Amino acid sequence: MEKLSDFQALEQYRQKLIAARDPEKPTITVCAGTGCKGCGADGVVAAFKEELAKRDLEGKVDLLATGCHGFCERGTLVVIRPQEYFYQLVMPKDVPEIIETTMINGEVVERLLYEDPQSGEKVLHEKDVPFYKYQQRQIFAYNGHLDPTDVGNYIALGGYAGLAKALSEMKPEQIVQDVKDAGLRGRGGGGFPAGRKWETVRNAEGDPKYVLCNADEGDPGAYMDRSLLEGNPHLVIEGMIIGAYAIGSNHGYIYVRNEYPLAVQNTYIALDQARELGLLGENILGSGFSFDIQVSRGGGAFVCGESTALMASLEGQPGEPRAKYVHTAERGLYEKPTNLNNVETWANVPFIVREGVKKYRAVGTEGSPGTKIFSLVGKINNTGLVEVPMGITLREIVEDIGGGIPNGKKFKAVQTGGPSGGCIPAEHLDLPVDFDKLYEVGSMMGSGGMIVMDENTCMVDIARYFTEFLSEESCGKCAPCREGVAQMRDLLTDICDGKGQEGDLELIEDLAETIAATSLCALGQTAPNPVLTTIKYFRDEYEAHIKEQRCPAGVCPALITYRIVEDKCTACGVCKRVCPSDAIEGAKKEIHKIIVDKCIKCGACIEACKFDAIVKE
Amino acid sequence: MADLVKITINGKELSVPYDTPLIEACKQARVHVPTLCYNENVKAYGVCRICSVEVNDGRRTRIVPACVYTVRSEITVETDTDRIRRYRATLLNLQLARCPDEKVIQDLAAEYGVTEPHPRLRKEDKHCILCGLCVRTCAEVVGVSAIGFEGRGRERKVTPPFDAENPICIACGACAYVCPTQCIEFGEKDGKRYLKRWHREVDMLVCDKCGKYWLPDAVAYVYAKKMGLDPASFTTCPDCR
Repeated sequence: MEKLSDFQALEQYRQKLIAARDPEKPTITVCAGTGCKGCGADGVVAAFKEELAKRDLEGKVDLLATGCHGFCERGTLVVIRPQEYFYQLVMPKDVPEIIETTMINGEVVERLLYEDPQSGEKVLHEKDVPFYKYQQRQIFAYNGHLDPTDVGNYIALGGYAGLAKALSEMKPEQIVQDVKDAGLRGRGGGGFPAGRKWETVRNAEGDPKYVLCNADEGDPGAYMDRSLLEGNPHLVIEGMIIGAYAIGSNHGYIYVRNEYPLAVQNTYIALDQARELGLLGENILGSGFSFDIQVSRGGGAFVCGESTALMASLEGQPGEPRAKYVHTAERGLYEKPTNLNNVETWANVPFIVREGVKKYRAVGTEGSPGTKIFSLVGKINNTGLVEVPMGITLREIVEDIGGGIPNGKKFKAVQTGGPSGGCIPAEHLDLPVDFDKLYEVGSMMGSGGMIVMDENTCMVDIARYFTEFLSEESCGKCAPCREGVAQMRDLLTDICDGKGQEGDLELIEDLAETIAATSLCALGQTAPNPVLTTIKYFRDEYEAHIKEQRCPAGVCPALITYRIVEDKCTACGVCKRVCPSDAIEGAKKEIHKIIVDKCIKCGACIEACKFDAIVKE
Repeated sequence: MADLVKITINGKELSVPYDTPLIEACKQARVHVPTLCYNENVKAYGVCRICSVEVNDGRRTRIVPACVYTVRSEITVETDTDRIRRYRATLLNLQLARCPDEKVIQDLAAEYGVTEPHPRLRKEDKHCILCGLCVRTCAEVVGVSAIGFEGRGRERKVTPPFDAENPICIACGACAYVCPTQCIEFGEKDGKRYLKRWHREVDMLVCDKCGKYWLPDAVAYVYAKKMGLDPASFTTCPDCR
C-alpha cells in the first residue's frame, strides 16, 4: 500500500477500488464474528474455499468473511449478494449444496431460509427477516459488507470520507460544535454529552492531551462494542482521529480487554493499515495534523471500564478508581486533559461529520438523538445485536425484533444497563427507550445490554446474581462498596435459601441508600440498582421467599420440591433412569415417586418426562 | 497568594485558598468531621467515606467525602445532618461487622448510636479496616513502598509482595504507629525488631558504648544512603553520643 499524500489521493484510491469491484459479481458473505465462530463459521469459510476451488469458481465468485451481522441466534449466517439471499444455521456440510444450487444454478436452498414463526412462511431476503426489518442500521450498516482486515473494503464503502472532510473543510471548533449540536451522548453508560466533554478537553490547560477509546466492555451478556471493533475497526479509528483533530490531541489509546482476541487482532491490523496509508501518524493526508493510536490490553477487571480506573490501568497502576471532583477532562491520564469515549460513541462520529447534524438528528429523540445498539439476550427468540432508533419502545424491541419469548412463556421483565442497571417490568413495556426514560423507571441505558426474563425467572435470584457479580468485581478500595455490596449479596443469598427474615428488605434498602450515596465510583453508586428495582416492582416475590419460604417462579432450589402427578405418570421409567441421585422409585407399571430427601432438584426428570407428569412446587 | 474562595460550613462563613481540601477548611472553621483513613501528612485516599458531608454548589446538593473534595467554588457545607448521620451509622455498622473488636470503631460507632453490628450482617473477625494509611505512609513518608494492596473486593488485604518477607522493609515501624486500629504488631526481642504482619525481622544495632540495642540496621543503612553518610557512623545510641 502506498501512502496517500493528500485528500485527492484518498478519493482517487477510493475510485480505483470501486472501479475494480463489479457490483453484480456473485459474492458469498459469511459472518465470522465471535458468535458465528462459536457456531463453526471458520469451518464454513474453509468449506466454501475448498468447494469454490473444486468447482473452479475462484475468481468468479467472491468470498467475504465479515464481522458480526447481529443475528447470533441463527449462526452461522451467510448472505449471497447481489440477490441478498439470506441463509441461516449454515454448517460446513451445507456448503456444497449452496454452491451447486445457488451459485451455479441460481436457485434457492429452501431449507436454509429463515422461517417466520408467526406466519410460517420462508423469508428469502435479509432485509425482510423481522429481526432486521425493524432495525435501523446506521452504525452497524457495513458490518456485514466488509472484511475487517482489509482497509480497502472500508474505503470503497465511503470510509475515511468523514475524516477527509473534517481535515480539509472544517475547523476543529466547528467539529466540536457539530458534535454538540448533533446531541451525541456517550454510549458507554452515563450518556454524558460527548460534544461538551470534547469542548472541556479542548479548552483545558495542559499538554499533551489524550484521546482514549474505552473498549473494556464488561457487562454480562453485552457485546456490541466487541462486534464493532471486530467487524469494523476503521469506523472507530476514523471517529477517534476526527475527535483528536477537534480536541487538539496527538496521542490516542484504545483500551481493549484481552478476552476479546479477535477485536484485539483486528484492531492491530486496522491500525497498521491506516498507518501505511497515511491515515494515522505524521501529517495525516498532508493536512499537517499528526495523531497516532496505541493499543493497551486490559486484564478483564470490570471496574476498569470506569474512567479513572481505566486510566490508572493504562498508566500501569492497579485498576482502581479515584475521586474525580476534578474531571478527567481536565486531569486524566498522566494528570493531563483526557477525552474518553467508548467504542460505539466513536463509531457515531464519522456519520455526524460526513452526513451532517440535521441528518443525524433525524433519527432518535430530542434528548437522545441517533441510534443505539443493544445486545438482546436472555429468554428471547431472536438473540443478537440490534440497532434501533432511540425512542423505540421496549415492546417493539422485545416483540417485533426479538420475536417474543420462547415456548409461549409470558414476559416478566427486561434488565437494562448491565449489572448496574435495573429490571423493568411488563407494565413499562411501552416505554420509549432513551437515556432519560430508562433513568425515570429506575434503570439506565448502560452500554446497551438487554436481558429478557420470562415467568420462570425468579427476580430475587436475578438480584442475587447481579449483586454477587458486583461484589466480586468491586475493587475493594472504598468501604461501602466492598463491605456493603457483599453484605447485600449475603442477605439475598439467605433469602434465596429460605433463610430470609422479617426486616431483611428494610436492612437491604438502608444499605442500598448508603452505598449509592457514599461509594467512590459508579460501580458502587449503581450497585444497588438491581436489588432496588426488583424490590420496587416485585416486592411480593421477595415477601413470598421470606414469609412463606416459597419461590413463586420455581427457581430457588431450597424452596421448591419436585412431585410426580399420579394421574399423568405412565410408569415408563424414563425419569428414574435419568435421575443422577437415585431419588425416584417405582417398579414396572407402578406409578413412580420422588424421594424428597434424595432429590437434588436438578430438573433432569422434568426435562425427560414426555407426559408433563412432574411438577415443581 | 492563591485566590480565596468564600464558603459556609454549618452556617459559619470563612474564606479558604482555592483547592483547599474541604476537611482542612472544616478544621479551620472548628467543625469536627470524623475520619478513619485521613492523615494530613499523606495524600488523601477517600476510602472510609466516614467524612462524607453534604455540599451545595448552588445547583445541587451532593454527598462528598471531605478529605478528597477540594474547595473550588462558593459552596455551602453541612457536616452533621440527619442524612449524614444515618449514612455514617450504616458505614460504621459495616465496619463493626468486619472488625467487631476494634475499640476505635466501637467508640466512633457508639457516637452514632451503633453499639452492636446489625444482627443480620455477616460478622468477621478482622482487625484491618483497609484505610491504607500504612501503605501511603510507607510510600510517601518513609519512601520505601514495602507494602501494598492485594486482591479485590472482600479479598483485599495489605501485604508485602507475595505475602512474604520483603527485604526492602526497614522495620521503621511507621506503619504500626499510623494504623488507626493498631493491628500491625510491632516489637523488639532478642536483638531483633519484628513486624509480624509483614513477616519481617531485622537485626538491631548494638551501641558501642552502652551495649544496648538501639536501631534496626536496615534503618541505619537506608538513612546512611539517603544522607550520604558512612553506615559505620551509626555506632552509638542517642544517650551515649
